[in-house]
Amino acid sequence: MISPVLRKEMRIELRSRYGTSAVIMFLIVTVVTIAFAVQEKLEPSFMSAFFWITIFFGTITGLSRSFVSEEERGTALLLKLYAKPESVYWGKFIYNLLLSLSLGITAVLIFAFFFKEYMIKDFLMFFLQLILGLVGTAAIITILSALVARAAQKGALLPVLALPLLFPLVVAVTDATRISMQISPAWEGVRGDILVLFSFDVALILVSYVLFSYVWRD
Amino acid sequence: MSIYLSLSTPVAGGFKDAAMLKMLGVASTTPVMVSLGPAVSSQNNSTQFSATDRFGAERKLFAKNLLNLKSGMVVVGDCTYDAGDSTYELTNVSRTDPAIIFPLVQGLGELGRNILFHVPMSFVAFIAFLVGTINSIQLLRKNDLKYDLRARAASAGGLLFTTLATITGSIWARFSWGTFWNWDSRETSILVLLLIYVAYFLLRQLLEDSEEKKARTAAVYNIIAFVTVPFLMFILPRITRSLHPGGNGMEAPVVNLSGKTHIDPWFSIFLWINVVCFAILFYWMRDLFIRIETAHQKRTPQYN
Amino acid sequence: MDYLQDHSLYVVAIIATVIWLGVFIFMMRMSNRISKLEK
Repeated sequence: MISPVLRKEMRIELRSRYGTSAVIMFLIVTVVTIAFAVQEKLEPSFMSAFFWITIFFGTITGLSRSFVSEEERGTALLLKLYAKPESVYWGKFIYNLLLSLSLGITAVLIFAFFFKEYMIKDFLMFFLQLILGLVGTAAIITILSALVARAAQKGALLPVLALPLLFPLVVAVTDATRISMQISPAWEGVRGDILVLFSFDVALILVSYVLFSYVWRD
Repeated sequence: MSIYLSLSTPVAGGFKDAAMLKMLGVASTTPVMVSLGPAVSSQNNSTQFSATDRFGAERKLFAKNLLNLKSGMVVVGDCTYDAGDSTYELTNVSRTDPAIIFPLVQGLGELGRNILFHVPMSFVAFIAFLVGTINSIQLLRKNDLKYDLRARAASAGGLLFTTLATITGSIWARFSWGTFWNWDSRETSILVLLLIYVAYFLLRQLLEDSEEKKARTAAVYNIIAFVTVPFLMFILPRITRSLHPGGNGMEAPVVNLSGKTHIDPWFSIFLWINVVCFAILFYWMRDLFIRIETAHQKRTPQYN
Repeated sequence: MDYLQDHSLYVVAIIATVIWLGVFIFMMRMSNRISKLEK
């Protein structure tokens, strides 16, 4: 039951390309702005901060529409009749995860292309924390976009709700990215971060999975 | 009562504190508690006692113009250390035979009392958020709107106590770290906690739906918000650099893995009494909040 | 002023007591008003 929801999302995305094109534009615009605003050589700590700020706002813009669009098109009711809440949740979550992973990879490529300081020293470490970070981001945005789907001023509300909740993730992930870009990355330094990321992701996915049906049903 | 004692109980250290603070140039006089032994010598208003401090260190202690001191007394007073000839002098006596005293934390002095307000406030804030989350879970299970009201009341109380902890903390930080705000990891995470729960009330207001759906959505947000609370309050301050005790991988004084308390027993007792007092205050405020809201809803039936 | 400087602890205690009394009186009054409303 998960795959039909996922397939539907993919098909809509491929037809309109609303999400991907807007997000890629967003990424490029942000990177160019950073490059113009900062004229000096960037330390790894600044680089990782800029990188994650770009990713967070990029994912919020890209993924926020997953439930809002259902409400706007009036297809939410149909989806409620057609699929079980669990399969809607997993379908939406996996779709959001794929979208945010591709966004993350694109961001890495764009950053690597534009900034000579963007040098990943330990690829395994970097991609491990990148994936864990993106999983957590996708999980939070999926459940929050379901929450705000029927609120006023959704566009402003979602970042306001999501960014403070993402804070533990922000701390861990920026620290891990910084370490993976240092001259000699040490795994001892990121062990705590990875543990925080992993437990945060698992807790969030479980809680959102359990709670989703309460938000979804009328 | 507890507040009175928290404020009036003298803070006192030992000879080592007096010597160290003087050598470091932090303070010329240091409050100490000593029990006076036999008088060694006495000449024109100046008596020399052999005194023992709280930690069992025995030193020669001069007392000038303090005539009513007798051997066998336990006194709390200001002590100065003369590095030139390594002597200690008691300059004034503030209390004799105190029932309880608080330990002197070097670098905090009298400011150390704030622990008794600042720390219980953040404990109660955590309890409040926990209560709010339990109420939210009850709402989802039983679908009764009274739990929504309770959850809101508890979260409002939690928000209040977090704000109070932030205010007492930043005033304290002004005097012991120099600035009101240091972007210390605990300061940052409590700020984020405030934002999270302000966002809860914002979400509750901006939802456009039936009352039950609104309550359910807010409850779901409340539970998700609480998932981040342990990370913000317990984990992040312990693994990142922090000016607060318990950062940098050191063991935290009260809430830690080994289950030991690294603070003075009297201090600890007052700390927990204040936690209970603040918790009662929180319960009272929560009750008032619920009653006010219920009365409000009864008087205006068109209220949503 | 010297007196205030030397006994700053008591000044703090008095201010704290006033604040707490204020909070308590405010809450008591609220409680009474609500009780009246509830009847």
